[in-house]
Amino acid sequence: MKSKIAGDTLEKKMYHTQERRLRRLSEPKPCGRANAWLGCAYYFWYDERDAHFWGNNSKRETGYFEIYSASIDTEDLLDTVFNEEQYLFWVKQIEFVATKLKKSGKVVSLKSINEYFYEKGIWSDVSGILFQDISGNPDNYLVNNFQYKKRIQLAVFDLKIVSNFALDFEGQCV
Amino acid sequence: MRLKRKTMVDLKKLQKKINELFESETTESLLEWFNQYDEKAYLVKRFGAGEIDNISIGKMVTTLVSRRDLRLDAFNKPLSDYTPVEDTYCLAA
Repeated sequence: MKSKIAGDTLEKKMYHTQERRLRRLSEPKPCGRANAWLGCAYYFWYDERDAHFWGNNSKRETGYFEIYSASIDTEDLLDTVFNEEQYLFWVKQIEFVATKLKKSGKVVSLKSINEYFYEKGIWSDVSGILFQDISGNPDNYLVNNFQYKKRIQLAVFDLKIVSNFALDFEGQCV
Repeated sequence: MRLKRKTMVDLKKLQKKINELFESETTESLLEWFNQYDEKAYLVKRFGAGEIDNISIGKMVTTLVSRRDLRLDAFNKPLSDYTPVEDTYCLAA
């Protein structure tokens, strides 16, 4: 992922993976997967290698996948990966809701908590959330029994922060 | 060069909004929201995303019954527990 300062804005180059269809995309597609981490949003990969891994493993319906790159204005993102203060804030909110519900016997998903906050207007001033988990990509296991590398994604809520959206790669699923 | 730029996300403002939200949100209303969310997720899974906001309750119930897929109380009860009274209520909704 490359970063640059464009004018007064810090932009990051990130990647959007989709199945290859007849038409090229002119903008990212919102993710409607039931297991999307943060619910309905436009998802981007931080690392190009994760974009390829996702294409090969989860975008196989047509046998081909595409990766689009885009410049992301990071100004109004909630960065739970690299910003300690925002990470601690994020954890606090998730745990507050999850604990409250668990005491009543209900275990909920991260997706549902995020959609709850979204529907209640909490994220109205946030253009997206940068978050991470651990990749299952075997290429990332360079050291024995330890996944040292974060798998980072951005869920974009507001398309205004996405620019220079363009095809970066197309290929056959392997 | 390492790029540094202060984010514009105002955590104090966000926290204030969340605090205000939970001043009016009870455990019961919170549970209700998440139970409804789960029910809607179930229906979206059955009918497909995009359809759920336009489809009528009657059509949902009819289709679910025809698929032997209906559960009451957040869809946790089997079809055999589905009583005629509830049937009338649901189909009339």
